[in-house]
Formats: sequence, C-alpha cells, structure tokens
Amino acid sequence: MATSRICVPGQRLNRADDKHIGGKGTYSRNGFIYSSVLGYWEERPTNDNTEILISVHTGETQTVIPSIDDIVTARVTNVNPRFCKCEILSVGTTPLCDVYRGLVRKEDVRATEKDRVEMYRCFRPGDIIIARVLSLGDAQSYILGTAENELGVAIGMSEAGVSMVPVSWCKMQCPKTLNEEFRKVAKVRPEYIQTVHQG
Amino acid sequence: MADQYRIAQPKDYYRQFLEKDVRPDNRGLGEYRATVMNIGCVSTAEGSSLVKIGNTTVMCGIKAEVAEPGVDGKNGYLVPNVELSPLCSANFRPGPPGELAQVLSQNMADLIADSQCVKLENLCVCPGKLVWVLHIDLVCLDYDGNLMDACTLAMMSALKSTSLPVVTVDEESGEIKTDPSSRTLLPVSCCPVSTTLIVFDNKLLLVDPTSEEESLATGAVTVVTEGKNVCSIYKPGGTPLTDKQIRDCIERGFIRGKEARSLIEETLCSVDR
Amino acid sequence: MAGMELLSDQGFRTDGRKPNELRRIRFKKGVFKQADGSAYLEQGNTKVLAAVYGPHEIRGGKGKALHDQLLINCQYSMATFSTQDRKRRPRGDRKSLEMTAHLKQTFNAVILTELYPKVQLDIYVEVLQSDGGNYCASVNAATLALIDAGIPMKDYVIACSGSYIRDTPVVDINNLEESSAGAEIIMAILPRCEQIVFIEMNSRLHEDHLSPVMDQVMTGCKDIFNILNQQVRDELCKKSAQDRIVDSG
Repeated sequence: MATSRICVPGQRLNRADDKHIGGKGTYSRNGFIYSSVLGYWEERPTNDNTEILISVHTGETQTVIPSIDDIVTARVTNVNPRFCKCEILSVGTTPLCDVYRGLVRKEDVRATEKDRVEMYRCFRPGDIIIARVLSLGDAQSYILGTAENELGVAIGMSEAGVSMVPVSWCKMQCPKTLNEEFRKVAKVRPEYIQTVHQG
Repeated sequence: MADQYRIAQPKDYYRQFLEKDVRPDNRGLGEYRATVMNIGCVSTAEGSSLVKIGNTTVMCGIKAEVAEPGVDGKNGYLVPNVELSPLCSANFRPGPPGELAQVLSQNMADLIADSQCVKLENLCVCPGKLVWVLHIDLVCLDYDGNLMDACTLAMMSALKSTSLPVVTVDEESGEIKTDPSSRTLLPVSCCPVSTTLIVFDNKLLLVDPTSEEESLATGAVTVVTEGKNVCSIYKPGGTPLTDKQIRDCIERGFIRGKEARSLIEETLCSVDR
Repeated sequence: MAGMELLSDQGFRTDGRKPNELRRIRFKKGVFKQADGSAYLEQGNTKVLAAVYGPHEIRGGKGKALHDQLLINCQYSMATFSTQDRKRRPRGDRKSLEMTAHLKQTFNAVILTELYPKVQLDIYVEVLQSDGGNYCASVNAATLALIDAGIPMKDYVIACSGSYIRDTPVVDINNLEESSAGAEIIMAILPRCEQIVFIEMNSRLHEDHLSPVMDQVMTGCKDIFNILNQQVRDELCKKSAQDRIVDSG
C-alpha cells in the first residue's frame, strides 16, 4: 500500500481548492482539509474524474448510527394493533454495539392493501426482521418500514420457540409442530441465508 | 457475518460451539481465562491490587482510618464496597449503587466474616479507645463477567499487601501519634478463593463466565474454598442442580483455589515490599 | 510551608525537576474491551483512566436530545483511595461536578458534534491516584480515549498547568506545589492552531507575570502534545506493519 500514510486528528492534509475535496474522516476549515481521526491517508478520484477525494480511513469499523434509507436488522419486542416496537441490532452488515429503538407503523408494513394489515399476522415478539429506515422519527425511536419484497421477517419464532421455515410470502411453518403461522415474510437475500447456516 | 448471527440469536450461536465442547473464545467448558495480577499499584492507599481475569478488570484500594470501637471495645471494622460505575460497562447507569453492586459488597463482607481471614481483634490499636477501620474499595474498571471471582481475588491480594502505620496513644493527654516511618503488615490468616460457574441450557456447567455467557445463563453457583476447606457455597436460585453436579463444582473450586493462591504468593514475592 | 523551599536556590523544585520540566508521561491506549475507546495515562504520580462509550441512543430523559448535534455526557470521579485522606464521595461533590462541567465544555469545543445528531457520547474519567494536575491528566487521557474510539475531532486537546514561584514560571505542578504555592493556571489548548479552549486561574498574580506563565504553560502543552502524538503514530505504524505481515503470511 503506497498510500498508507498515517494521519492524526488536526493534521493538515491539503488545500481545499476546486481539485480536492474532503471525504470521510476529514473536515475543512479556513480553506484547508484536516484529518479528524487517527488512520491512514486515502486519495481517490471522484466518479466524474474532476476532483480528488481525500479521506482518512481508520482500518476498523467506524461507529455507525442508523440514518435514512439504511437497511437494518431488528428484533421485535412488542406488537400492538397500530405499530410494533423493535430494537435495531445492526445497520447493513455492521453490528451495533448498543441497540437503538425502532418502530414499524401499521401503514408501513407492506406496499399494497395497507388498510387491511393486521399487525399480529405480520410480526410477533422475538422475530428478527429486516427493515428500511424511513425517518429518524420523534425523540423516542426510528421509524422503520418493511414495504418491499426483500423486507420483513427473516427469522420467525414459532409459539413452540423454534425458528420457522417460510412457506409463502405471508406464512411460515414451525418445523417442530408443523403449525403454520402468519408473518410478513421477507424474500431474504441469499447472503443472509448463508450467514444463518454458517454460524 | 458471524457477528450478526451472534447478536440476533446468541443462544443458537453458543449451542453450536458447546456441542463440540468448546466456547466461542476458544476455551474448554472448565477453563479459566488468563488471570493477571499486580500488587501495590496505588501508592496513596495502604494496600492495593489490580486483577484481570480475561477482560474483567477490578482495582482494589484499602484505606485505613482510626475510629472509636463499639461496645465490646476491641474489634475493628472492615468495610468492603464494590463500585460498578458506568465506566466499566454500558449496562450500568450513573447514580446510586445498583442491585448487583450491593449484593457483591455484601458477599465480600460475608466472605471475610465466614473465612475469618482477618481477625477483627487484630485491628485494635488501643483497647477501648481506638481501632482501625479498613475501607476496602473495589472499583470495577472493565466488566466482562465473573465479577465475584475477580473481586475476591483483588480483595485478598490487597489485604495481604496492606501495611498499617504504627499508632500510639498518649495515656494522659489522649493524643494520637502516628509514626509514618514504621509500618506493620496486616496479619491475614488465610486466603479464601471463589469459583463461579454458570448453568447453560439447564444442563451444561461453564466455569468463569463472560458477561455474554452470564446473560444467557439459567443459573449460577459460587464455591468459596480455603485450603482444604469449603468456606461457602452460594447458589442464588436458577436451575436446580443434582448432588453430583454440585460435587463437581466444589472439586473445580479446589483446583482453582490452589492456582489462585499460588498466583497471589508469586505476585507478592515478585513485588518488593 | 515554613522551612520548605518549593524552588531551591539552585533552581530545582521539590521533586528535583527544573522549572520548565514536565513530569514523566506514560500512557496506553485501548486498555479495555467493553468501552468503545479507552486510555490509561500517568503524569508523574497522577494516574487517570478514561473510557468513551458511543455514540449511542440517548439515555435517561429523551428531552435532552439535541436535534442537530451530538450530546456529550461526562462524568469525572475520583477513586476513594486516590488521595491521602480517604474521599467519602467519589463523585457528585462540588469539585467533581465542576470538573465534569469543565470537561464537557472542553470537549464540546473540539468534537465534530454536528456529525451525530440526536445521539449521545459518554466520556468517563476516573482518577486512580491523585498528585496534582487532575484536570490536565483527565483531558489528556480523554483525548487519547476519543482517538481510540475513532470519534472525529478538530485536533488533539492538551492540557497543562503552571504556577509562579520565586519569580520563576513553573510548569506541570504537583500536589505540593498546587496546595502551597500562590497562583495556579490551567490551560487546555489545540496545539496545532495554538487556540486556547479552556483557561482557569485562581489566586492572585500580578498582570506582568501572567504572560510569562501562560507562555510557559503553552510550551508545556506543546511538549505533551509531541510526546502523545509521537507515541500514537508509532503505535499505529507498528500495528500496520504487523497487519501487513499477517496479510502476506
């Protein structure tokens, strides 16, 4: 790596002119780009090749917080007729060190027939769901939505306490009791299934 | 990717490991994490120690004060206090001590009383007039499970390194004189060591749990041993265990006790006093 | 302090240092696993531990959330065994609360708070052994912990203390000098742009003497910065070299 130059917070990296712009791990002040974290220098031309993007990457996963349009994984904690509460476990593929509270409102569960959604037939406490962050919400929690085919319940917990197998887009089957239960099932992306089976 | 699975379904994640008799951190079921000890690290305290069991870190400092004795006239006081500040884990909130901290403080007090490791009459300075109060403050700096064992180890090693200044009371004027140049070592007659095990899925016994394992546990047992004696067994509810399992726990406790005591002795020898 | 010379005729202080000499600084970054960032720092006999948690969801009273920036929560505490006489309250007394407020103000000025709206960052500082300069050691340790946690900052914040003894400005004063000498000046600066983030002075000092002491403290801060910066860089250098060996092997 020819670019592995070490930067510390407050180090001046370059002039902030029309050729250079600051990326992640940097900030600009008085016409200069400075590093804001400890890490390695990285230079990369922008997509349209007109500017050079200077960023500092730390080499470790940065602390993330959920922001709008992120795909998150969450565990359902509480379901009532109007919404279900959940705790966000990870953003994208980055696990969070601390859970954030999220909320899926009834009207955000699916894209069609919104008025016929019954929350109890979509989520149950203990389910692991994949959702998209719709807004940062009020002070209480993030607002999540599952109105896409790929979003919804990824791992459903049956009444017997076992994780269920999806049988259709709205049903899952318990391998122990063979009971069928209703869920808003996600068409899980292949890489997620891989995780579950690898352990 | 495995991290996500670990967060989403911790029990299943552990089961897959435990089926093969190994834990996610590469330990066997009966294996302790590496234990590191440092004695005499705080020079403002009369006795101090730092103990690390894996990531769990506890610092113990002992401050001595003189006070008037109670009605019996010659018994000193030992006041253990465990502090779990939000510094050591995101699970603790600022404010008055929580339940866990209070329970541990009481456990430490019971441990001293049960094992008689420090005799209270040895803390007498002048009968009827003056006794020592030893404030044993245990501060958790990093919480990763099994605080009980870390606290006992830290407390015992700090007690063993405690030296008190010589204090004399003038008979006539009642004036208290301390001679900071000469110090005597606190007599510690024995060294109890605790061993904690948790029960996983109502059947498996895991020694020295991490905080993640503690959160998944269905029960816990703590055995305190001293030499060839069992000092106390503490099982706060949870999954019932068979007679055989309790015996196994006690046996494990004796092995751990021997290891821990030799560690304290080695560390004491290596630190010049 | 009768009979005790804080500065001898030969120009040495009670602990054998020269007036412009710092105490020995040793530190270690990333000492704990639970915290997102942590650091242990020794300045002479003052030993301080700092831990950083977050950014995470606001705790305790959602009303505190700031809709456009990060909320910084500090707690300064001193272990009961850290001082000569046992401290009865490790935190919550006036001195600690004042220190907490100072730390919070200091770090509000350097952390890029607008990057993390509506969340909270915790900075916990624990003094394990105290021998003067608690604020300075706390700031320096917390800076290292923040770097360890990867929290974006404008610059390092470095703090140092100073005093004026026998017509000489002295730097990085210890407990004895703190309690017996006249004025004490504490400064926290951004070393690269030479901006002062925090300054506190107590006791009286003639205005003519102020600027020599401030200059001396400023130099002290920069010396500390050089020590910290050098080691932080060296450590990362060593780490990346190791990583490369692992990658290629």
